Amino acid sequence: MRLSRQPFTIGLIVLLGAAATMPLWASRYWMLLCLTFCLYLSLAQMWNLLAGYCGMISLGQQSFIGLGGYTPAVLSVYYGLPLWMGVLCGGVTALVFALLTAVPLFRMRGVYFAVGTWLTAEVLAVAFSNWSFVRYGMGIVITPAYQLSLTEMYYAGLVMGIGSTALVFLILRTDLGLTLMAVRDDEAAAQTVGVDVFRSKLYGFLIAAFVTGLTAGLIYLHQVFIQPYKAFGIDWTVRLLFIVIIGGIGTIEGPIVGAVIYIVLRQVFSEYLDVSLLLMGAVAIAVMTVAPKGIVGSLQERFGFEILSSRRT
Amino acid sequence: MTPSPLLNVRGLDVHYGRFQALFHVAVHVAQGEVVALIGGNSAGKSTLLRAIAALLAPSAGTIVFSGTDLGDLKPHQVVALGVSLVPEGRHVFGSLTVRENLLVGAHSRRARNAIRQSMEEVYELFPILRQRANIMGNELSGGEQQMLAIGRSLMSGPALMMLDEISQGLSPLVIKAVYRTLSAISRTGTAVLLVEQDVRRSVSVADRVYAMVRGRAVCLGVPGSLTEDDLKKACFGFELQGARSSEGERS
Repeated sequence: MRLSRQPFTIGLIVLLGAAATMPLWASRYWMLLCLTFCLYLSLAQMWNLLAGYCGMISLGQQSFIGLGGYTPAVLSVYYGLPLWMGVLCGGVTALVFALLTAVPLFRMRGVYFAVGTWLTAEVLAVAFSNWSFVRYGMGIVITPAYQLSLTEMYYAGLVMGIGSTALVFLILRTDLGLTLMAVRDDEAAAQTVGVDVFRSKLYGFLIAAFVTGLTAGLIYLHQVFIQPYKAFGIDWTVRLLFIVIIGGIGTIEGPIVGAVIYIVLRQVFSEYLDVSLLLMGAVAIAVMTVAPKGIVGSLQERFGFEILSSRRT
Repeated sequence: MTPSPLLNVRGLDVHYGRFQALFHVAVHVAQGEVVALIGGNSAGKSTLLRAIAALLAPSAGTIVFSGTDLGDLKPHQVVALGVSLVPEGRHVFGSLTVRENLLVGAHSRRARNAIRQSMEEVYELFPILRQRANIMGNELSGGEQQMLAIGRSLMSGPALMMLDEISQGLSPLVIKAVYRTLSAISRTGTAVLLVEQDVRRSVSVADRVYAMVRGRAVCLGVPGSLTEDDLKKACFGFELQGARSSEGERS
């Protein structure tokens, strides 16, 4: 069964219009929810780019999140650099770190790669919590970030949410996207047909690191406080994993649906803080049992449609 | 003066750890030639192809293709020079469509027109692939996947195509169709290095035959000069039940 794309396109335009004008009509509460959604969406799209399209299951996205958060904190608090410039530098720091760690990490495969990325983040957490320059584990209060209004933050988050989704969509339609998916399917076969596997994976890794670093900068400007064990904690990647797995790994729409579900559940379960993780885990297990490919993946399989299709016809 | 061969492998040794798989292998392939490499299991046939494709690093010897030493090159650079490998077991990209699989095959080429033309040529060789252009690779039958693997390999515009066990797991009718296309491919000037355990089938299309026995290559010569007994002795050392002579098969 093929579904018409027109209603989805119209719905998408209406949603984008509503999001763009949100500060004019929505309450502070809804703007905060939407901002959080956009920031998680951006992080999830990048984890999905790595795991869903490059076949690199990373458990160390928190490396880029921590570096992306600490860079604007240090640059604005210590050196007075404009906040947005600091956020950009955070993306660059994450990118440089990805470049430096790519060679050793890419020598690992599968679960070893996952553990390697996780341990890299743990090393950063320990290093930052013992580094006097960043005030050890006490963390840094990003005082200049108090000047930012919610509207400014909201639009910055919206750009990241929409921009990351558009970026993944565009990458998948390029030669790079095709080779990334080929490498994910069968790395050895990709080599035999002339794909430079290392370079393709490196590009995917660098893009994901840069965008994750940028997004993390916004997250910590919004939170105004950064601490090493939170910033480099694996909780970040667990949340992204939850979002992408229940939404649908290897689909562009999956992280969107997953991020909506995550934000809704977070609000609903916020009253039951002690058991909220347990409840989220139960939801994840239930979704995976009913829809093993995630909500979007299973719907696509059943109805044969893709709203944001990267297929070359 | 004899023209220099397109591919010239000399004194090639390959090790897997401490185990030596190839011993001083010397093989050459001329332009447009079909060379069959026959031998039993674990003789080193696939290892030789993987070494030529730069998927394995030789411990000694040289591999020269079209005047270029492939020794220090990466697999993608070897493909860009004009050497392609159809791996054993087909290995199509399951989550990509037939058309996308072919486009990945053309990854090393930049000219859009050449890619379009190659795709048309592949569709002419395998019309079923045109009909299935938007079907996922993992939804194809075994024969269609083999055709796709060969087509994908052709998309890089190779001067030398290496095929590893292309008849494995296919029905006789499909094997016949696949082999017909090999003749068509060699007529375009593309050299073919064919690895098969189906000796009679591969010898029937070859211009020259090598046998590999326990990591060593022996040139048996042209199929017309080979008796069934030559093949048996060189390759297996045991009697093939009901085998016909290679000359008979060719005629």
